[in-house]
Amino acid sequence: MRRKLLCNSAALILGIAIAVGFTAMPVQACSNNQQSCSGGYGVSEVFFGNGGSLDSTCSSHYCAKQSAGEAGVGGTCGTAYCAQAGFNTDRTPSLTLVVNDSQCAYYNNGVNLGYLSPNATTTGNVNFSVESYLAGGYVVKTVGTPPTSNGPTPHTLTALTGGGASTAGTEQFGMNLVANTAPSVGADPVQKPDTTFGFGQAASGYNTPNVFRYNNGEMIAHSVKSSGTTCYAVSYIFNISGTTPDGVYTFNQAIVATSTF
Amino acid sequence: MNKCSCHLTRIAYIIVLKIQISKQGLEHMKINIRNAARYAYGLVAGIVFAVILLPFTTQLAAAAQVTSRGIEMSTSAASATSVSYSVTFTPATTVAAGGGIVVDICDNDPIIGDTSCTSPAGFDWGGATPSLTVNSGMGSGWTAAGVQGGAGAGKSQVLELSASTGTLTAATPANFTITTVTNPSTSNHSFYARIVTFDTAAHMSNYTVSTTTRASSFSGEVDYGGIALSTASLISITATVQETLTFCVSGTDLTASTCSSATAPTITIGNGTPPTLETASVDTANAYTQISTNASSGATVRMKAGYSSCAGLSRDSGTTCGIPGMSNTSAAAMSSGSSSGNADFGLYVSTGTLSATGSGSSVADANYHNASHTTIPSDLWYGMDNTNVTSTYGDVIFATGSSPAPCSLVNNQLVFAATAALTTPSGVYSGTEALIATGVF
Repeated sequence: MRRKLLCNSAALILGIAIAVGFTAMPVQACSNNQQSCSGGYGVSEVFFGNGGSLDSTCSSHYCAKQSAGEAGVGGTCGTAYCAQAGFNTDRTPSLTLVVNDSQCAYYNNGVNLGYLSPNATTTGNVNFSVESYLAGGYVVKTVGTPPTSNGPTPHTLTALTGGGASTAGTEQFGMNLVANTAPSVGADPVQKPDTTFGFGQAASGYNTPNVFRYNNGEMIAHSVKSSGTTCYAVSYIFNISGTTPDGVYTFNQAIVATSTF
Repeated sequence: MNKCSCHLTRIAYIIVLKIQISKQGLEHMKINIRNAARYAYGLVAGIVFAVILLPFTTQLAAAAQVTSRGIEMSTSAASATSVSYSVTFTPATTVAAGGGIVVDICDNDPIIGDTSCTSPAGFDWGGATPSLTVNSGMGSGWTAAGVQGGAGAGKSQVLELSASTGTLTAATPANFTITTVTNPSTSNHSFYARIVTFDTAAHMSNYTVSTTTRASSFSGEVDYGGIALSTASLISITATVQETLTFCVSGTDLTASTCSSATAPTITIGNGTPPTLETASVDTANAYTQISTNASSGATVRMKAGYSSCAGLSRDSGTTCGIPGMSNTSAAAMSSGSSSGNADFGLYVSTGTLSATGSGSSVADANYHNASHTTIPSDLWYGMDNTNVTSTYGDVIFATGSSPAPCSLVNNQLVFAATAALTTPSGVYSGTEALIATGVF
């Protein structure tokens, strides 16, 4: 009888400990979006689907999590791999590519740049975001011929195929995915909701401030492991010379993301 | 040990005990209880271990997952046609010649065995006969044996490849391309591919397709794997380069500067003080032009005389033409008035030179330039087409290239020459010449 009472008590204590561990998460000790952490480590948790929330109700010190059907998964990543954990982890690989994503900078930015001038650099911005789950990473490539004019003898703007600085008065077309100062345009990739979830980065050649580049079919961004959403701001530069033929120049660009699973 | 496991051990012990009794008879009733218990523990552990392993071993024997799998699209634009899908995967298991590959495109998930596979709207492998290119790791002899399913008439969703001689080798990446794909019609949309390899082409028929329903298992399946893809909105950026033509005439050379430094081209021909034309010599004076244009067919520059009936110089605003134009259509030497007996007015146009950042060229018209006589001012040949210069639009004196093209900061020197005849009335002779640049865009 005494042993049974002991066992029941132990089970009760264990249950309470588990319950507290899953429902009461200290807010102040963790960085944003980490549901549990010590001084050196934190666990990030995400929630997919309806019927739940990771922090539906918060006091000044604690948040209550609610869920229906345990549709949530968590993850932790090393330098090359990520592990997904949870009672009901999603087994579906995913690749989500959104061009003109409302949660990213330069959303709905104008893409008609107006008249170009040989006296100044004209810039433009768009955004795209990539999220890849249960993958070995992803690669994003640009597909599209540099801006080409209309008319009977179309002219294609000279692309900075080897990369270079923007020079007004010299015919140039290029882009990059980082913040620049000359000209002042663009933004570095932003991880959503923070860097513990997203790992995408601009590719070499497109990741140096004030250096612009364009090659059709080239990789412009990548992640070497599963990644939450990464917002990329694409900055374009247009420079023309005095002899750049007149016309309406159009740049049709497809952003192609490929995940390896 | 908890209560449950204790019961289990007891049951096992009784079973073993009964077996030993039946085998050895009553004379062996002295049983070593400790040995029996040991056997019981071992048996239970073995059974439990086997039960746990059974589903795993069965699954491994049935199929394994292909690795490093992905599909690279040549474009992610929704509804794009003739798109290339480069399919890559590394088989876990070798498939001998005569095998098959199924690639099924689903809108809902990539999970092999899920009986639901909805069709991505608009997707098509390329009708009944998708175009296949085998790139590497598969040998030869593969064909797009068939297609199934699809979202609408003429669309295909399931691609079936079979090989007469080609093989798939474990751990060797295989890559093939289908070049006839039409992307799903929804932008920024995720969709999926399910890849299944089969030991024989005939067994591909076990991957049954009935609209959006699939079999949950397939006899002959070797390997499998899921892939996610996504369409995306096309980025379209528009910028306009307007037609430009910058042309100026200056009294000073602009080679080291631009039109913003141009001076008034008011020139006086003659020598001495005040400058006068002499009959014994040919006097000259210079003007300069600079032209830039992005006209795709370049530009021409014409000269039009200010007097309607005098291509040269007049002392009475064109009523009379005391120093007429040379009236030639090909550059020629200009002799002094005393030797020729004529008063003449002519023009030489140099070949264009570029400013430091200039580009392009300009070519003088043959009437105003002879390549053998270009030393300024001692050895120049001149010209003046009186008819054209006095016409409505004037006479072409140079163009931006033999086949006129865009140019930037191209400089030309114009040398006006005049001489008076012995009979030329005295007076102040003047003329105005309008230089007109016309771009052909």
